[in-house]
Amino acid sequence: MKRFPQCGCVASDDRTNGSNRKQRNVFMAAHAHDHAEYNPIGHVASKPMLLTVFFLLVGLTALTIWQGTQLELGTWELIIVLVIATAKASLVVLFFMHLRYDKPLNVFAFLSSLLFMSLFIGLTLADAVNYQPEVSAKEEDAASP
Amino acid sequence: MSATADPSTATADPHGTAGHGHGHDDHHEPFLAHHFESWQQQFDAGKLGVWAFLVQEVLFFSGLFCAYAVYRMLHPEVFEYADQFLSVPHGAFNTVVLLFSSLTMAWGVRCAMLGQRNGLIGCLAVTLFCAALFLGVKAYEYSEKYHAQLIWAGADPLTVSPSGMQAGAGHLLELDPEKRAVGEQLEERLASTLHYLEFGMGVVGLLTLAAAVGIYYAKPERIGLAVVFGAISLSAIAIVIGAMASMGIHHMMHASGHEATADSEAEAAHMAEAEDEPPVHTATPGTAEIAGSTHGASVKAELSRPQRLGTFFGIYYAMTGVHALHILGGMVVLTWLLARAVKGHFTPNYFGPVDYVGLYWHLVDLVWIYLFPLLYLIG
Amino acid sequence: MATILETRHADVMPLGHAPQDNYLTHGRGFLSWALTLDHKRIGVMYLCAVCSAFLLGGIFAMLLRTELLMPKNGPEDVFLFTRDAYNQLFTLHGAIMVFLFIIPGIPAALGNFILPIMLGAKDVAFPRLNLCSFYLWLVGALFFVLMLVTGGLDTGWTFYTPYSTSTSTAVVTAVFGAFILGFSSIFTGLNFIVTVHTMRPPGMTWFRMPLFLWAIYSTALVQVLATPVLAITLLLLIAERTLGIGIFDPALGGDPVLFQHFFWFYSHPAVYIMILPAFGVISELITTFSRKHIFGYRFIAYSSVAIAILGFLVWAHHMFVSGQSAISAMVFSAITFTISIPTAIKIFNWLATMYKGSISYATPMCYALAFIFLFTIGGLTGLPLGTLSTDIHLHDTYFVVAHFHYVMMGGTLIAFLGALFYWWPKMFGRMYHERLGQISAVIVFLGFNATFFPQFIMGAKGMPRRYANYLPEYHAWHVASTIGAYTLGIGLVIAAIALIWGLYRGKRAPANPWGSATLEWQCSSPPPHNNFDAPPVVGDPYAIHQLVYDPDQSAWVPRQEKIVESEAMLERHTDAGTTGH
Ligand code: HEM
Ligand SMILES: [Cu+2]
Repeated sequence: MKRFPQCGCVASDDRTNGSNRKQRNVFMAAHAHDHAEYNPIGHVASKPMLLTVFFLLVGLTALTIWQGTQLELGTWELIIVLVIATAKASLVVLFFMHLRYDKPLNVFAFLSSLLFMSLFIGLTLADAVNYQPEVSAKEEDAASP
Repeated sequence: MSATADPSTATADPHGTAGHGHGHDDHHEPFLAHHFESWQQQFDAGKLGVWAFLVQEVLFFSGLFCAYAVYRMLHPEVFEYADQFLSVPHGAFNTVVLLFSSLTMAWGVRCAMLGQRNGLIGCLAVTLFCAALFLGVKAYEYSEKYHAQLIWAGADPLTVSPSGMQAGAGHLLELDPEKRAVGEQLEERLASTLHYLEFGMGVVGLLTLAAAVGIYYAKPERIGLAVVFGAISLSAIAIVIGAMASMGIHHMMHASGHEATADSEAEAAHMAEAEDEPPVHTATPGTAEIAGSTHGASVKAELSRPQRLGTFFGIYYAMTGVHALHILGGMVVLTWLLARAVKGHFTPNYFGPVDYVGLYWHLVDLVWIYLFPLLYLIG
Repeated sequence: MATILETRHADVMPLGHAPQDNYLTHGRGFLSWALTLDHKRIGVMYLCAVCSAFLLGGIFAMLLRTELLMPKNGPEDVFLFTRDAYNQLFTLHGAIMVFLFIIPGIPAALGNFILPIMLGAKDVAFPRLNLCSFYLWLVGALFFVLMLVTGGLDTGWTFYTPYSTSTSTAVVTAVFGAFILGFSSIFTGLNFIVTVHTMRPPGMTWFRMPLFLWAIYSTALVQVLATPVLAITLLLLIAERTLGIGIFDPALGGDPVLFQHFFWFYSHPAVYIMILPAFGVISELITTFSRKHIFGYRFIAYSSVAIAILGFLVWAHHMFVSGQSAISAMVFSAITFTISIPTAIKIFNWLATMYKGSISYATPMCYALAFIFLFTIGGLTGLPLGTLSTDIHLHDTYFVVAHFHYVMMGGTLIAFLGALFYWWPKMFGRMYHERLGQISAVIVFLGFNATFFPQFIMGAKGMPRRYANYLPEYHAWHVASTIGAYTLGIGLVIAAIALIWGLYRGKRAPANPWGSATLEWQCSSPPPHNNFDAPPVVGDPYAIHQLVYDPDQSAWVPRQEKIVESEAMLERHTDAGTTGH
C-alpha cells in the first residue's frame, strides 16, 4: 500500500515478484503528474513532514528534561518519562523510518520484537521481584554475623 | 508471467535462463543481483532483511534493558543516588545531536530516492559529523567519570559486596582510591586528558585530510578511497569539537551559579541532605577510612554511598558502551555510503543501501531516546 | 570433495538428461569454493564443517564414556583422566555439540542446500551474507580451538556464573567464540526468513510450501528472536569476567539467577532451533516412504510455528531449583506442559500418514522410524522434568542427561542422518550403499538405546550428572551405557561408510530416486548451478500418489504420463489419460 498524504490517494501494489509490476508502474506514472516527488519503488518523505517531526522531537526532549529536573512526581516520574520517550520513539519509527508507509509485514516484524522484548523483561522482572526478599534476608544474615 | 496466470499450473522461472523472454532488461543493470527479478523484489528483500536485523538489535539491547529494569526495581535507591553524577546538559546536547542526525539521515534517504546526488552527499556527511560529535561528548563524560572514579564494581576500590567482600581483585582495571580526583583537581585532570584526545584526533584529522586531498589529485580514479580518508578526517575533527563543546557546557554550568564545580562534588553537596534520604545501606567503616585519607568531604559522602553503586555504573557503562559501539558501526557504514554516493552509485531505482543504513541509524537513535531519560533523568 | 566429484563428471549420465554442468563442476579450484556465493556449495562446506565438529565432539564423548567404565576410590584414584580433565571433557563435548554441530547442523548445512531449491528460487535472498555466516562459523570454531590450546574450559556448556567468572580456564575465548557463532546463526535465520517471504516463485503459495520449509522458517524465527539475547548475555559475561561490571557476579553485588534467566531465554528456544528442522525432515521422509499424501498438512505447518512461539514462554523450567520464586516456578511449569500439544500433533499426524501407506524401509525411512520412537521417549520424559515436585529429585541427574540425549541425539541427530541419506543422491549425484545404510540405522538405534536408557534408571536412582566418579551401585549401569556408546559409535562409522562409499561407487542417481513431489527432485542430480534448467512446476508438494515408478525408464514419472504411454503402446486411444489429473 502506498499512501499519498497530500491528496489521500492510495496505490495498492501487489509485490509478489512484481507480477503486477507493469500495471502498477502505469498507475504510478500517472500519479507522478500530481506528485513531483516521485520514486518508482517507495514513498518519499516530504520536507515539511521531516521538519515537523524533528521539531516535535526536540520539543518533547525539552519537555522531558523539564519534567525530569524540575518536577517532583515520585513514582509517576518513571512512567511519565517512559511515556514521553515512547512518544518520541513512535515519531521516529513512524516517520523517519517510514513504517507508516511500509508493508504490514515489516510493521509486524518490528512489533513482534517489542512483544518478545517485553516477554523477556516482564517475566524476568516478575521473578526477580519475587525472589528478592529471600536474597535480601540472606544478605542481611551474612552482614550481621 | 502474467498476473492472471493460473496458480495451479504456474511455472517458476527464477533464474533467468529463460528469463530473457520476459522482455525486461533489468539483468543488465549493474546493481541488480542476478537472483532477483526486479528492483522492487530486490528492494523488498533488503528491506525485510533490515527489519529482521533491527528485530535482532532490539532483542540484543533488551538484555541491557532487562538488567537495568531488574536492578532499578530492586535497588531504586542506588539509581536515585547515582543520577546526580550524570550531567543532564551533556546528555541533552547529545540527544539533540542524535535527533538532528536522524533528520539528516531521513533527508538523505529522500535525496537518494529523488536522485539528488549532492543533497545525499551533504546529508550523509552531516550525519557522520553528528555521530562523531556524539562520541566526542561521550569521551568527555567517560573521562570525567574515570577521574572521579565513578566506575563499575570490579574497578571500583570502594565497592563492597553485600556479603561484605572487598571487590576488585583480578580484573583488568582497578583504580587506586588515592588517585580519586574531586573539585579543581578533577577539572585539571579532565582537561589534560581531553587535551591529549583533542591533540591526537587533530593529528589524525589533518593527516587523513592530507591523504584524502593527495589521493584525489594524484589518483582521481581512487575517489572512493579519498572519500574514506575524508570521512575519517571529518569524524576526527567532529570528535575534537564534541570534546571542546562538552568542556564549554561544563564551564557554562559552572558559570551559571552551580554550586559544584564538578559533578562529583555533587556527591559532597548531596551529603547535606543525606539525613532526609531514604535509608541506604552504608559501607563498612573501613571503606570510609580509605576514602577519608583522600578528601575530607568524601568521608561523609561515602557514608551515604549505597551498596551496588558499582552495579549501577556497570549497567551505565554497558548500556552506553554498547550504544557507542553501534554509533561506531554506523559511522563505518555511513562512510561506505558516502563513498558510493560520491561515485554516483545511487539512483531512484537503486537507493536500498541508503534506506537500510538509515533504518539502522534511526534505531540507534531510538535506543538513545530511551537511554537518556532512563539514565540521566531519574533522580 | 570437489576433486572426487569432478573426476566422475567425464562419464556422463546414462539417461541422456544429464546436465553438462552441475554446481560441483561449475568453477574449479579452491577459490571457486572459498568465495562461492552458491547456496549449494555453501551448504556442502557447512556439511563438511559441522561433520568435523561432530567427529571431534564424538571423540570427546567416547573418552567420557570410557572414563566412566570404572568407579574410583576417592579423589586421588585416577582411571584415565584427572577430575579436572573430566570436567573439561564434558564441557567441550557439550559446547562443541551444541554450538558447532546441532544448531547449525540441519538448517545451515542441509537447509542451505535444499531450501532455495525446494522453494523454486535461484538462491537465498542474500548470498553474500550466507557466505559470511559460514565464515563466522569458522571463526567461532577457531576461537573454540584457541580455547582448547589456551587452558580449555570447565564451566559446562551453560557458562553459569559465578563459576564462569572465577575459574581459571579460557572462558573469555570460548564465550567470544560462542558469541560469534551466535551471529552466524542469526544471519542464517535472517536470510531464510527473507528468502521464504520474498523469493517464492509464482504459484508457490505458503500452503504449497513443503513442511521442511515451514520447519526451517519457524526455526529461523527463533534464531532471529532468541539468539541476540544470548549474544548480549555472553558479551556481558565477558565484561563481567574481564572488567567485573557487577551484573552477574554475586561477589560484586550482581545476581547469578539473572544470568540463568538470560541464558535460558535463549537456550530453551534454542532446543527448538535444534529440533524443529528435524521435525521438518521427518515430515518429508514419512510421506515419501509411505507413498501417501501427508496427513494434516496445515496442522503440522501451524504446529511448527506454535512450537517456535510457545518455546519462548517456558525457559525458567531449567531453573526450578536455582532459587527462582515459587510463583514463577508454577507458571513456567504450567506453560511447559502446553508445549507437548503441538509436539504431539506432529507425532500423531506422522502416524496417521503411515497408516495404510505402502511403507518401504529405505535407509532414510529406517532413521525416520527410529526418530519417532526415540523422540517420543525423549519428549515424554520431559514431562516429569517439567513437573515441579519430580524435578527437584531429577534435576542435575543422569535422568536429565538421558532426556536431552533422547531429544537431541535420538531426535535431531537421527533426523540429520535420515536427511543426509535422503538428500545424498541429490547433493552428489550418486546413491549411497543401501544395505549398509539400513544396517547402520539398526545398529545406531540399538546402540543409542543401550547408551541412554540405562541413564534414565541411574538418574532416577540419584546418579548426579557431570561427575567423574560414582558409587559402586551404579557400576553395572555405567558399563552398559559405555558398551552402548561403543555400539553407537560403530553404527555411525558404518553410516559414514555407506555414504562415502556412494560417492565413489554408488549408482548414478536419477533426478528423483524416491518419487517425491517436492521441487528439489525436479532438477537433475546434482542440481545445475542455477538450480533448474527448466522452470519447475509448482503444485501440491505431497501429491506423491501422482508419481509412479516406471521400470522401463527406471524413473518415477507422473501417473498420467504413464497411462498415456501404456495406452499408446496398446494403440487404444481413449481420453482416459486426460482425466488423470
Ligand atoms: C517435548 C517437551 C520437552 C519438555 C517438557 C522438556 C522439559 C525439560 C526440562 C523441564 C528440563 C530441565 C531439567 C532439569 O534440568 O532439571 C529439560 C532439560 C533439557 N532439555 Fe528438554 N524438554 C522437552 C523437549 C526438549 C527438546 C526437543 C530438546 C532438544 C532438542 C530438549 C533439550 C534439553 C536439554 C539440552 C536440557 C538440559 C539442559 C542442561 O541443563 O544442560 N528438550 N527439558
Ligand atoms: Cu527447556
